[in-house]
Amino acid sequence: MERPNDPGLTTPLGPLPDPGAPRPAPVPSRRPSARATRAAGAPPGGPPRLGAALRAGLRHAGGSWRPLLLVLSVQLGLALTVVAPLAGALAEPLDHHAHASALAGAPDDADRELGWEAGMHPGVWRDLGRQQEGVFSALSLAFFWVCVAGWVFGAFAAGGFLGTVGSGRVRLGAFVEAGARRFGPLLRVGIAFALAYYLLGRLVLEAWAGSVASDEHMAASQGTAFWGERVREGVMVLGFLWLRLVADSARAHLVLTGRRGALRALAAGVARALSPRRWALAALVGGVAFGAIVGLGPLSRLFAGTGTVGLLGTFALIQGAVLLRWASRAALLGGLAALEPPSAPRP
Amino acid sequence: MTVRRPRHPARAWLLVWAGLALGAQALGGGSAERPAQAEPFGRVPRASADTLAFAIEARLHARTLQVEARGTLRWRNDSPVPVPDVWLHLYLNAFRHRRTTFMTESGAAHRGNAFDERYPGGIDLTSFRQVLPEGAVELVGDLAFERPDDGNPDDETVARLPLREPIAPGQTATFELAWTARLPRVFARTGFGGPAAFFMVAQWFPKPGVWEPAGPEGSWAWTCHQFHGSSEFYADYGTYEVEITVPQAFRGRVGATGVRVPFPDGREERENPDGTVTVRHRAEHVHDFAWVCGEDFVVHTRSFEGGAGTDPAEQERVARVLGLSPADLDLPPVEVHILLQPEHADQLERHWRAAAHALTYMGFWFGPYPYPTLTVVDPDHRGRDAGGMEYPTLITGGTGFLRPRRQTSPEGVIVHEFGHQHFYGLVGTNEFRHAWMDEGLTTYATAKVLDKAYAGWTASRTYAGLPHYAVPVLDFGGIAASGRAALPWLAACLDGPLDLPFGELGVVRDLAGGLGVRHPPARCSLWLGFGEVTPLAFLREVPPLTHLPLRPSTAAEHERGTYAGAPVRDPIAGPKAWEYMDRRSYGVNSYARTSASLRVLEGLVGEETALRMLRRYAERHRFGHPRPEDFLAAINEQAAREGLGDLGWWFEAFFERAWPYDFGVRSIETRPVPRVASDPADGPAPIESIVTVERPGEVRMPLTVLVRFADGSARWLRWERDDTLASLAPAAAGGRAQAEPLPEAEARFLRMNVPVRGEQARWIRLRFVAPHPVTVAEVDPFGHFPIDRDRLNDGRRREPVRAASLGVVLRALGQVELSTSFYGGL
Repeated sequence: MERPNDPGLTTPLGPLPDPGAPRPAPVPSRRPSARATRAAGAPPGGPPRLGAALRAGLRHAGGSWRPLLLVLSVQLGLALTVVAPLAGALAEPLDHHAHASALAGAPDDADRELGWEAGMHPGVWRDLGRQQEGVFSALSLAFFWVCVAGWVFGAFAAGGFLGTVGSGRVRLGAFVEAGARRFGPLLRVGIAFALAYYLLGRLVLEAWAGSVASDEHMAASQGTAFWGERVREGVMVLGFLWLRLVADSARAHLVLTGRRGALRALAAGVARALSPRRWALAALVGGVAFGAIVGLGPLSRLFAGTGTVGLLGTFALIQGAVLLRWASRAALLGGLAALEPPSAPRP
Repeated sequence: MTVRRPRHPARAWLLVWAGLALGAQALGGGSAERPAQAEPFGRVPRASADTLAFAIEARLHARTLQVEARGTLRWRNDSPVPVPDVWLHLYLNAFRHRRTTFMTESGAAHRGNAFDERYPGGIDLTSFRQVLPEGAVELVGDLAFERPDDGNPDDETVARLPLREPIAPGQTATFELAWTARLPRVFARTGFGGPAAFFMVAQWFPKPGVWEPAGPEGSWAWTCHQFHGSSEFYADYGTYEVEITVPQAFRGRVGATGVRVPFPDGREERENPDGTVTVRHRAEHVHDFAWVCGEDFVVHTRSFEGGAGTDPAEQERVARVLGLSPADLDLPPVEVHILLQPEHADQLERHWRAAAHALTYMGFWFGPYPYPTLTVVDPDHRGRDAGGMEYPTLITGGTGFLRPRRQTSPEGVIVHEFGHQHFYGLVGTNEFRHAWMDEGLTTYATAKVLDKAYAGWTASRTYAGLPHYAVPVLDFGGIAASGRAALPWLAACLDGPLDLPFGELGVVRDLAGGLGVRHPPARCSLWLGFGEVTPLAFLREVPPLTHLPLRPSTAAEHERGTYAGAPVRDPIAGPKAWEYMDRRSYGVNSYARTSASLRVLEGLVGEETALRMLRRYAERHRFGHPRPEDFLAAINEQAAREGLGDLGWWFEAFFERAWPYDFGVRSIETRPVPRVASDPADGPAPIESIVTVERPGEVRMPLTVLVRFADGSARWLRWERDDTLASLAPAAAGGRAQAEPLPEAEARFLRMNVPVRGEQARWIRLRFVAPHPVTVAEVDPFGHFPIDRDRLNDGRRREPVRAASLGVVLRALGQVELSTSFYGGL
């Protein structure tokens, strides 16, 4: 529950502590932290440089290892709600399969003698899907709701990361409190983002595509329709990334100024997301992180068929990928906070 | 029906004479006898006993989407009875309206393409004259439409014309015809595509039916089926000579059945004063004629040199199997014309190699392709429903833009349609009555070529038009796209009542017009009308890390996927094409189950013997019209030669019954055998293992059972159709070695005293007492019977290998975690 925004009890640094209550973990204030972060690389009187913002973001991500582990645990917990039933359903048919070793990627002599090679057999996979059809369809539905929960949790985590910018090593309590305090407004930003994406999709994939698709499909070359689709997909991806930058800039604005209006924050986010610095920051942080995560894919093949070590290795890679994704998010939010222009905090 | 006089009487008479000359030449050799009995292999008939000769002049009017044609037909009565009438296929009439038999059966849709009523098809026979000594007599006024299959009064795809004078046995009759074929927007492989830029001209002329024995009493009748939603062909062999006139835009871009015949001045094309271009094609020993032209075709011609084709090793192997010398299997040269769309230029080599592989392997296996040309058509994408079709010496493929190599497309369709040159073209079965005899055998042959020449089909997902060769463990299309399934009540609310007439709003029209958009979407629902944006799905799930790569699938496994999940409702053989429960049942039985049943034959008798059986059938009935009993007779004859006994039970079980095939290992139980006082004190106690094998399916089969013990030793057994057990030689023989009956005492011990039940029961329990326990039990370990409904139960391991499922589960974990992380950032 949020505390009442009572001028008598609230200071620019946050609400006054209850004298009788145990002392909460220090929640870093917004303005000083942002200023402190900016001071490291900002030219006097001007906006901070990209490098400085990037360094600030990376420092923030590095100092947020405790929250990152918490976030990772939550992601794992959410995923297990879907994956645990799946594990139960697959164990009997796959583990007791006559060629389970080959399916696990480590065929033995008997497997090879009968033509079973390493890897999942397409016929076995198809039959498994049919046999466990109910499980798979139920889990796909559960997947939807888990993703919705992940989205809601993301609003909380964004508040936590933004609310602890500039505090060095972030403590879990501070992260949780900061996340909880700004959860409502940040969730509203998320909803506004979803609506904006919905409109973008309708505009690009329905209105635009609906207007030209028939002409494209009647063009002499099949490539016309192919490339038409690719262009629209490209616009969707760029639009999505830009909207995401808008939303994150809005979140930074909300948290650092203490405002609560999601729409006004979005308007501020739009203005900020036009800045090439923010684009560059998002591209650098997001691009490098995504490239690294994709790179883990081929690495995971090294573990195929290596038994327990392989399973642990694959698990570690996946958790590493999730950690990387969230660390990049913490870095991006930290960098955006550093780029936030100084403004008077809301009384 | 209106009767029109020919516009150019002089040219008409020339045509008659050309037809007479052609007919005399073509029918002159018609009395050549087919080999009564094909003792050795390799004596493949090179020519058919042609029944008809047809000379046609055809002119394409691209603007009116019509082909105006006339021709001279000569037809010989090979029967011992007089023929009182002529029955003709008028198949373009299937596309006249929605009440024809074709439309009724197909739901006016074909392969997902809806019939475009604005552009119906049709054929108007304007003249049909019987040439008699006293002069030609017009018969078209007596034309009557027949509906022999379903009595549908709205169907006009079969016409009967009573003759003024019956055709006596051995007599050749001559007819002069004129007709106009109106082409639909490409539908069911026929019509025009784009703004009159592509024409697939098939089923376009009045094609005689087949005059053949009709009953046990020696009566004869026309077999002339209506055009149905499934199946297309049954006609007699003949010679066609066709002059095709097209607008200048199609110059050099015409493909047709048969060989291009030069004009007397040596030129291959004749330019006409009206700006059109004429080409001539001649085809002998074929039972249909089709042609195609497209403004955008890029025509490539390659020579298939023949000889050993592309695989001398396979030639030697097949020669050994058939008892011939490799030179006996030398293939004749073939000129291959590939009519490719310009945007598919990068796939020229793939088209060529697919055609060459098919010519090679099917030539070795089933006899050489006897025609000098093969035309491979890549249809215009605006007429893609013209793809995937066979006509004599002309096949249509079909491909896409940037098609991934590991999915054997267009290769699969090219090989399949070429396969029909053997099983439909050379072995001219009645597709309506026995669809499996051409589609099934072709599917089988296709799979064998693909397995031989390609690495296999690999499952993939497409992102931004590019494939990633792995599949997600959980099928999830993202929050936006999955919302419809997760929130059906909300979707239903937003879908219907709030559906907005978006494109009808003036402001939308004005705005769209201002932006240069001519067709704003007509309606607009509040619910998302768009699916997943695939590049964003890639960002979300990171497929290289979280998706499950599958091994390449063999063609057999790939085709098994088309039927394994569906219950068997119809037998393969028996129902006519329109008598299956639905089109899926028709497709599953005619294509995949037939192919799988032939693989079962391979599994039973061995690949080489199966090859000899099918070769026997293909040779004996080349240019003939065999029926299922002829097929079985050829199989049984070869089986008898090789001492394999009657395979009628196989045909009955797999073709004549709607029986599923499934065997499995139900359980493995082990326990130490209790010691008794008389046992020696040292050494471990022996272990008793009990393996239960079950038969959930209906089919009874001689089944190989492999049992492995913990020390690595193995026991191979065969559970026979009569419920007895036999001992098999181990794996070196591939599980097909002759089985030896087990001594009675051993058999009784193995069976745990359950008596032999006469015919294979639903289960059998096997007891093994050995120093080591059974670790794995498996049925059909070599997968000789890929028709199996369920591969998961084919074997069982006593001790689990956890990594098998955990490997999959970890991928799913990554998929979900990265997805929640992705959404967490929004």
